[in-house]
Amino acid sequence: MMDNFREESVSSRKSGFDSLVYAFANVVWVLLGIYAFMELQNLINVIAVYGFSTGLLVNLALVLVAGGIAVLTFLNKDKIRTEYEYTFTNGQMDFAKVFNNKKRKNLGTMNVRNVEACGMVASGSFNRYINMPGIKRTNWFLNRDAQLFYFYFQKEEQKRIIIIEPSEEMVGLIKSTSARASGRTTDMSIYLDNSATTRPCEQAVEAMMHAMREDFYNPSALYAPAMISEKMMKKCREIILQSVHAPSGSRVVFVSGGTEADNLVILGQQKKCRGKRILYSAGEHPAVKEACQAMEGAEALLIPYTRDGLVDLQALESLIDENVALICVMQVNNETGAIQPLKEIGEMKRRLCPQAHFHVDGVQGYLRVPFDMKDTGADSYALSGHKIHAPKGIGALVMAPGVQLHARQVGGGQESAIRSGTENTVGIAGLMAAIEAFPKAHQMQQVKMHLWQGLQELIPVAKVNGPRPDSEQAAPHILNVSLPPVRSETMLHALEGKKIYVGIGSACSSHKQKVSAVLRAMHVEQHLAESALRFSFCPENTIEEMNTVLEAVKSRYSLLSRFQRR
Amino acid sequence: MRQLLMVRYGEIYLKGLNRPYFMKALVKRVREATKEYKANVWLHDARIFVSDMTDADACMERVRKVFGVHSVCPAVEMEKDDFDAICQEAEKMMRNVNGTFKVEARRSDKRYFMDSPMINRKIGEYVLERNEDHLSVDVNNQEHILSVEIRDKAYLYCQVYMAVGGMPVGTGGKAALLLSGGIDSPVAGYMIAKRGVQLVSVHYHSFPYTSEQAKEKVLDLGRILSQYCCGMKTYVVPFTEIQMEIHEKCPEDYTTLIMRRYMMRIAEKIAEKEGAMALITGESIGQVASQTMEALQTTNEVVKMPVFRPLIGFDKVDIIEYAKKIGTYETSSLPYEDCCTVFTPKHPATKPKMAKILEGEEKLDQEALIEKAVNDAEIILL
Repeated sequence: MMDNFREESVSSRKSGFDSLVYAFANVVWVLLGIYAFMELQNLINVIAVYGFSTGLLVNLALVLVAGGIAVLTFLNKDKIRTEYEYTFTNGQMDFAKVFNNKKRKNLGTMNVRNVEACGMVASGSFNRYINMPGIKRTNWFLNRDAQLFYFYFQKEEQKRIIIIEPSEEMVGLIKSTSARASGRTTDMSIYLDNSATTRPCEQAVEAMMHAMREDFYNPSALYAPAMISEKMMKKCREIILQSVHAPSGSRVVFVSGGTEADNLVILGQQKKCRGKRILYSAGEHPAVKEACQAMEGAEALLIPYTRDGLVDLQALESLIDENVALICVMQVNNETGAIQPLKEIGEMKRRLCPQAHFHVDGVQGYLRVPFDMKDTGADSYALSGHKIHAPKGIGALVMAPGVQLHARQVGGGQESAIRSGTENTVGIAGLMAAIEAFPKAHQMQQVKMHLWQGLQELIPVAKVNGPRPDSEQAAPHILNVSLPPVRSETMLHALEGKKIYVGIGSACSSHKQKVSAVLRAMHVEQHLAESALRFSFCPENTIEEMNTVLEAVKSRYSLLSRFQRR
Repeated sequence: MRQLLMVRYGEIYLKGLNRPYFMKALVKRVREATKEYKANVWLHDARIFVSDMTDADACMERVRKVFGVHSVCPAVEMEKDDFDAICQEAEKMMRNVNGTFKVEARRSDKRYFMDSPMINRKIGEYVLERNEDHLSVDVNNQEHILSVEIRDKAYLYCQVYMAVGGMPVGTGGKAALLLSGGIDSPVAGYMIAKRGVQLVSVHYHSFPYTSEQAKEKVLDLGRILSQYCCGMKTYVVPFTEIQMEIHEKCPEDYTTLIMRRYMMRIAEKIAEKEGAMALITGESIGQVASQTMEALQTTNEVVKMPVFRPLIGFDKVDIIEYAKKIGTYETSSLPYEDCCTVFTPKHPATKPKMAKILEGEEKLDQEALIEKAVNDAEIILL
């Protein structure tokens, strides 16, 4: 279980000096008190003997001042040695001030889940809040040079910011809680590059922690506790098979991710493909394309795309015959979000080359776009964990019954000897948790349409690369837009300056070439391709975030579009 | 007996009455360089000694990068009175060496009971007798030299590692380097710093046209340079606004030149602020359009300070060679977009006309732009 209670207090770094002042204050109030008392007695005696005269008023004033200082010092001396006490209990923060180790004053209570933002004062986001008009700042710390942490929230129309100085551990607790509550990172950034990778969901993190701390056993071991891992893996396989509607008798092989899954299924059929033809669609991920081209003794042919970024079925029909051994088509294109006509391709394959293997790369589609293995007639399906809020380093290959592969990695014979090596139980636990946690209903399509309509209004020349966003062929989580004449990198960095993170084309290849191969295959004009941005969403993105994005695009575009590359 | 590094200096020997000043600076630089190895550094008898470092090899590599150092020798220090022990140590040193050798003694303690030729003979004899199978003496054309120095103590060494040479940084004043991210500017900075000049570098950053990675790359280059020149203050000047103004208001084929003129002006402002007396650029005649002699003249005339262009007569291949030697080439050739290819005109003017430049510049609020850029510059200590 997560440790979710912590109490700590901060005292001033110069506490030695404070103690000195405290001792001095004690001396002051005792001495002044004695002086005032004696002077008062003296005064009474004088008045008793000589009667009251105006000259004694000075003495009286002296007594009052000395006595006053003594009393004030006595009352306030505890405040010299002040400490702050922070208590964190299940997301609740209590703040208290402690005077001289005995008197305690509660300052307030706050639920970390309700704060709108929090983070280190040293981070850039702090300035954003502290400079807001009408903000009320409360300092509950003692050492200016310490690691300061702030909470920003609104209470009864009043914007407030509280600054404290917690320890590293406390910061960790606060951050994990607030992140879990809001479902996004604490620094108020907007992450729209979910096709590159996603933030692991809390359920996955929790499951992995558990798998590391408790169920760490080797699933191949013979004692009882190891069975738990074994069972967990079995359950995960079932969940995956269900989620893709695999025919009964299908198998799941756990691998390190999408690339390995694609490589395994393509290169694992080297023998079968010798002297035959391999077909792959023009926009395939390099993991598929490079693997197909690396096949010895086989002819790898490209299936062209239409202008919408979909497989050109007519062209495919002319390429397909009984000499084809392998067809690779992705479920959703990683750059344009085009959902490929897998059902039609499967139908064509059954009709024209029934013995060929039909592989679907589902890395960009899994869970976000429904997939039915039986319906499409796919023989294998690759998926990757880190695109669906599971960690990096885990993926799976689903194989229909009867598919035979040659191992690419030999050793202890795990995973039916197709993929040797001790199973990544931590990753598998995370993958299972992420699949189970992935929402069945989400508003990604609405979010995408909101952004697209907003962009269209702002920038009439904006153009979608891929199928029309509201059509059935467009995936709900990817929007590829060209905002000419602003170049992709420029707009990306401009948005980055506003903590909005988007992609250009495919993140894997952005360093390799200037214009993406997918867009080239779709015959997108050069100037449009050079200004293409990829927004990719996750179920946690909101309409409000899109408004922020639109605001940012609006302010940057008007400035940047004045300067065209010549 | 103990192991230490004997650091020998080069050009400082030529100094006359100023020599103590240069020596003091050099010792200070060596001390700074070896600080991370917790070494003990002292000057004695025209040699700098470094001892008690945590990692001898790494420490030596570091000292070899200090400007002003001629060479470094890993030496053994021992008591000079026990001559037999010296012979034994010498033999031990030569035991694993093959080929021809000679002994070269140097006696700065003239009261020592043997003179140098005598020491040479005695030690040579002792070593040769015990290693006759793989060593032979050749005093004219030897492969190895076993050096013995008799000072307050005796020092033995047989390996000399050449260092970078030059003059200790800080003895030659201060200059501001225009650091881009390309291959040339770090080399130019290195060459001037080698003459004892303290560097301040100025980099122009055009976010969002150039990325954070591009800036990080320049800072990495700065870090490599700062190893040689004992720390370097770097100004990252936001340049986008100026570029946009130029791009919008000035004739297209002159944008690069006007931009260069602005860079020079800003660099001079920063140099003045930092107490630097000159500017350094990596320009080389005719390399690109803005580096023709005509173009250089137009960019040169906006500043009063002398502009040092150590690479002016270098070919690109020579510069690359140099960059590889000092270790900046690899970082320089990372593929991030440089000071803005977005704004490069298709046909920049190679034979610019002053009137056109001035006409273009007139439309800009020069004072305000420069002042803003200088004030908004981010200062990073490398």
